[in-house]
Amino acid sequence: MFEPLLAGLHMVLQVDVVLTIMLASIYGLVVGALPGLSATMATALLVPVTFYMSPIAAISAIIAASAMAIFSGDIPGCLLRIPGTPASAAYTDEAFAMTRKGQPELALGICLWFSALGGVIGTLSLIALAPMLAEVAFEFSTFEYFWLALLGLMCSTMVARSSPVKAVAAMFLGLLITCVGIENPAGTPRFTFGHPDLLGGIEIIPLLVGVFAVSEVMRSYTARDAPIIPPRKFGSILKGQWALTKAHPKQQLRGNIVGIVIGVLPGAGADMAAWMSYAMSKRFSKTPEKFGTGHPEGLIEAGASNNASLASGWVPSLLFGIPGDTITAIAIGVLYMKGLNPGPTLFTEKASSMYALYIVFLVANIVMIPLGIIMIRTSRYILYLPRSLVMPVIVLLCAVGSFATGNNLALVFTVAVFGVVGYFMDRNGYPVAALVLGAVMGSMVEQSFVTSLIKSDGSILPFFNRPVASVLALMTFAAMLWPLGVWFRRQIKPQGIK
Amino acid sequence: MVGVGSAFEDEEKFVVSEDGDLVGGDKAEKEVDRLGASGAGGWKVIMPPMALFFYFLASEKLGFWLSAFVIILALSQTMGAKLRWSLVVSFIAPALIHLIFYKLLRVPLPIGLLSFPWV
Repeated sequence: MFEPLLAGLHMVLQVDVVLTIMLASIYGLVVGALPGLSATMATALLVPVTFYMSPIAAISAIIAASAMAIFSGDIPGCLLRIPGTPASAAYTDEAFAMTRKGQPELALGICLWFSALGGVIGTLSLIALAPMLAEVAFEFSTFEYFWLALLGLMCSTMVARSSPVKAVAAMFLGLLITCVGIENPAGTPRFTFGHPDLLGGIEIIPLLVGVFAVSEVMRSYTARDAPIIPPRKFGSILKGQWALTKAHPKQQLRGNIVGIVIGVLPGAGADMAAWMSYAMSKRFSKTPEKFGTGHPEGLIEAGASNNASLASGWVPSLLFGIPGDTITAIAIGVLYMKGLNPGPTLFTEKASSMYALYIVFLVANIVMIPLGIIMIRTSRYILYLPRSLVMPVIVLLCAVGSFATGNNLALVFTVAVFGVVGYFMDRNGYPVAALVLGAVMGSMVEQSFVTSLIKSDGSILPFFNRPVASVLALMTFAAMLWPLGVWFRRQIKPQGIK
Repeated sequence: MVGVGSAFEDEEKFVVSEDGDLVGGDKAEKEVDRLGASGAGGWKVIMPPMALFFYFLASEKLGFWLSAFVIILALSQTMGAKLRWSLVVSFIAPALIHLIFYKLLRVPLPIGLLSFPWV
């Protein structure tokens, strides 16, 4: 145990890795704080840059930037009532109410302190859960992987914050996208329309940059610039946080647990965790009437939740290559590129890399506190960077970045197309996350299905009579029928309580 | 029990109205409709993908500097930036991005008509 731990520490303490963590943290803090730029977008834009880094530096950049962005999204929410990232939207009103009561430093302090704590506890869950599950995963064969991938797809539609029908439609569109090209088990060109650029299939990174970055820039055309608030001097940010930690251990723990569970579920990430935790906090609170008036309870629980989900989202990603959220959907691509192919063997053969990853997670969540305080104090200047000057630069970065992933200008065209697709999907309530999950996991579903059929000589029986496969199959069908059940219950009880 | 999916939350919409106030609830929805109807954004929404399309078509011939300049100037102007500032950014940002990507990360970028001194 100690040898890989030391090797991992050695990997993290390289100059390039430390420098990367610092720079990526600052980048994450700034992008997260700018309204309209989400943590997923920050990660998507980072990918082309990570191409040219060492494996550990590349993963560190993603971990640090995403953790910082999720926290710093709270800053404009608290000060301007405009969430910086969707993960902060759940408790923006609460935080803003505290600011109006004259306690902005307390609200921001809660966001920072409990985000960092949540991140650390999420990391501990990753450290504990992943190797344990890896033991189980060693027993898995393609049959189990097929069900697991299918279950992941079903989960993504189940937890989407939209109608299940639209989520399923979005997921199918994603699956259709992975069909394009010649890289399928039979090696037959599909949906290429005779175009050579389509033979290689649709690259996933330009797709992600398109749906997450370009579509957000398009949306920003219809949004307005932030209102100007009078400059204010903040008091001590961390004052009183320890007292709050001692006063609300239950809320914090519950937030952490909900965050970890949501993070592990495929497709559901930090924003879902925050909504869920805030709703739960209100429901189980002794004083639910205080919610919305600047009450710390919900803020603690939701803040603890969204950062915890970030780390646990890596559990299914590292073990099975099934993304726990949209950020890890991007990270999986980077893992493959860097030769850290997801799978249980990562934890045995590349144990030192895994330790390095854990260390980066802990370091990122600890440096979040000092960097976060600096960010809060300078937020006045960063929040008012005019959108009309920031967004054009983002578009240019999309072009240069996507070109860098394959030295091919057609990739820039892909980005433009998926920007439009993402924009119209979002406008009409189709969850983009489901599309992305379909696109990321489509080939896994197909490969494992075809390989399994070849192994079993075309018999579908082994999909059901292997013990683990049968349990996974049952879970998949349950997930598939879940929306139907919900719909049916509503039909019976039209006046049902929400 | 807390539900899963869209069932468990009521999302409150809020936007900034024209006089700079924050409004929530029903009023916000009307505000959104009104802003939508008056075409805040409107056709301009298509500008970012058009800019990428322009880069796709023109960057080989024009080179990185010129095409990046055009993209940033066009986008910032349609987003309503002051001309002075958008000119400043369209000069500085391409140079910075080129320096970072070309020099530091060694990403090949089209040279075209005008090149940077460090190429």
